[in-house]
Amino acid sequence: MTHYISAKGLSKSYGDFQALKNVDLNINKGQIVGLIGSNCAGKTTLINSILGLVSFEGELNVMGFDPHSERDELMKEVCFISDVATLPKWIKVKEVLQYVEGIHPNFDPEKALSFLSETTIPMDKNVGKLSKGMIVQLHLALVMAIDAKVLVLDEPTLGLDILYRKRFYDQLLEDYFDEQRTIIITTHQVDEIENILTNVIFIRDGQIIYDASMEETLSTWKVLEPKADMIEEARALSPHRENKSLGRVSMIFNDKDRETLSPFGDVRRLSLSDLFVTLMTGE
Amino acid sequence: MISALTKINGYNPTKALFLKEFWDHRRAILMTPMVITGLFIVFVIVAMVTGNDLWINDMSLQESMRAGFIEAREEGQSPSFIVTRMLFGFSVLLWIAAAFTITFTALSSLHDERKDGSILFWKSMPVSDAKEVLIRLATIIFVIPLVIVPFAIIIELFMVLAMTVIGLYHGIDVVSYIYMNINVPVLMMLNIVLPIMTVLWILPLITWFMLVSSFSRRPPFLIAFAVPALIIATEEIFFEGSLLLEAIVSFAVSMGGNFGQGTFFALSSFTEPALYIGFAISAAMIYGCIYFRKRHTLT
Repeated sequence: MTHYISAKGLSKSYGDFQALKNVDLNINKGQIVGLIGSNCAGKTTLINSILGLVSFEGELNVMGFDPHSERDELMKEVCFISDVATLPKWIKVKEVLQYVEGIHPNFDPEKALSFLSETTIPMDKNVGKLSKGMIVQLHLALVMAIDAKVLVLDEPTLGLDILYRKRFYDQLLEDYFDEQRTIIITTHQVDEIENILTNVIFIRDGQIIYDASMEETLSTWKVLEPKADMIEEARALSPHRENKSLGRVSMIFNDKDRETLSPFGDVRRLSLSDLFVTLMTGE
Repeated sequence: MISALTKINGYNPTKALFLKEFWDHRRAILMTPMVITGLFIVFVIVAMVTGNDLWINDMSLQESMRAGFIEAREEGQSPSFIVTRMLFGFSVLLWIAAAFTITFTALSSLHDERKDGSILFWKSMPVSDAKEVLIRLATIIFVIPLVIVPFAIIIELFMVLAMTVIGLYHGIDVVSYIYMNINVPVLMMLNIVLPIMTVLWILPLITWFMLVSSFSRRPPFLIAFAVPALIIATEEIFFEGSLLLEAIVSFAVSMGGNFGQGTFFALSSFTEPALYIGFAISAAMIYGCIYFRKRHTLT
């Protein structure tokens, strides 16, 4: 199976509001995909469709399943952590481990216990008594102990401090990710995940407006900060966009290589958040 | 044996779902009957030690029990019938509590998970919505009543002991008056079969509570009672009589007719068409629950 997830003409409306408009999408194994969009762009609807949580129109295939009608089978291969999919407060830590052991055929309790042993999470406490950071750690330990092919993270680190956030992604890369798995992440903290992504998808108004590998993105998009006396020459290269801030001019190019640009000034790569702003506000 | 029941070793989704329900409602399912049994026993011991009688509505408990005995005997009931039913009667508090537990567990069964967001965690596990709903139903109609049974037996055993002490104190031949008159198989049938038959009869009510809990955004308790009350009131005002109320009353009459003497612990209900109509209505309600749970992500 080359495509773990493939969508064709995927649409979803809520009344008059079209949350997804004819989305075409392929996500392959071994990818870490950042799904990025502003609020109400359709991120959550797209993710909910992939997870079988909502009905949809069009074609959508996830690991060979129709997500909406075969969610129970699909969830053997797909895991998700979402900011809103919280662990119930009344359950004890050891009980939730027992529950997942009983309910999931691909769960390895030893693995989960070994992840938890590196934390200070008490086994006898109710989830409601844990800190937000601990709850996310617990959820991550459960999910990492499941041998699934696709992991979906919807704002997984919302409300966590920076140390927890960094540890979350480090652990994900070191202990979980391999070329047989695929991870999809949505977050507003784009810069934090930029260096772990292999692919990036921008979504706006229910449509995918950018879908490329990070490699391609980095080699295509560049920022030139031209020397003061070369601004006009640089402008002649017809940049995609020109920004001015604090008296400094920067130009964004998407069709020039480094050799062409470097005589005019400093060339650096465009950060994902800047690319996002460029594409969202530009034409 | 109990630890084997409450421990999971490896993949066993049905057991995991039942245990999850038990953990979620352990206070209602286990602690309530435990506390009631404890309080009941303490109460009886205190009453025995202090020699005080219990007064309910100006009637002494001892007096009313004695009156009940005499009445039953005048009606020609055998001593065995009287003693066995009286023992069963001591566990009535447990069943009243169970009725509340069933009501509130059903009303929260598909609502709380949407309120606290845990529905998305449950849905991230490989279980179908149908299985989730059916296990919750089975927990309400079988687990809650069956957990009561051992506590009912504890109360009954304790009362046998209490009556032995009182009997011996008064120089009564406890063996022939009490022990010989306890029909253990009948008592067990009363403990187990009667509650289950009751639950089967009120299945439409239980599944109605679950249905409300599956779609309501407001507290389900309110909707569950306000909707039928409103329908009945509207019917009464505009049509001078309520079909819904008539249906409920006639259903209750059919149910009542299958409890009491000569009904073989209400097992005669299985020959009653009303019971099957109730099952059909319940099935429709459960279908609705599954439909709504599949659609819902959060409230």
